Amino acid sequence: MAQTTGVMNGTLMRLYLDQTAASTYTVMGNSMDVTFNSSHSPRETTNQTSGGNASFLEGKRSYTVDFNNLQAEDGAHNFWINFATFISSSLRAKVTGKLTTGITGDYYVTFTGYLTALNVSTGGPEGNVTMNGSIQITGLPASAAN
Amino acid sequence: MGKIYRFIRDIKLPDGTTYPAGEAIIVDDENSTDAVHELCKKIAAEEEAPAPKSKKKKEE
Repeated sequence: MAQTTGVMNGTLMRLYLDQTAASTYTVMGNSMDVTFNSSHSPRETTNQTSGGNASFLEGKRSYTVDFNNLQAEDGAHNFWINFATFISSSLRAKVTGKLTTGITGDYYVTFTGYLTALNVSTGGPEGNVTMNGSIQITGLPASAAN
Repeated sequence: MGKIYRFIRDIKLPDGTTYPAGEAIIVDDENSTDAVHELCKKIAAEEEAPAPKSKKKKEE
């Protein structure tokens, strides 16, 4: 398959996880949406020579991933699978992941991180049970083309 | 070197969940021996293996 052309359809880009924190990734089942967040906190260096303008130098860069899913007991990476990782005394909420279309030529990002939030909601009477969570990435995520 | 597996039927992952047919399983480390990769190698080998020959009907 060739690289995806044009404005990408949101259903193509998926979150893949490895709950053993290794490098074999399986897709997040029943996923509705995924957000990869990058942030940067520059160091403020404003001083008496700054002429009244705030000045900054590069600072801490940080990355998180948020996901929203429908809960299915037999779905890959369902709430219970994530919860087992969350409470594991060996993994201690550590996961590895990849955000990609899985299409040759498209870019992807891989990361190692820790689950920092994991929620399940009943959705009310006759509603869908949903789950959502967040991953705090540790270190530098890697990006390249499939 | 990585590898992407896709299977034409649903498979049961080692954690007991069902993995839908057609969804990619992405292996970044081709030499990894983790459970999901071992399962992928086993299923891929089964799919590539030639179908067993049917026994000829005995002539009456």
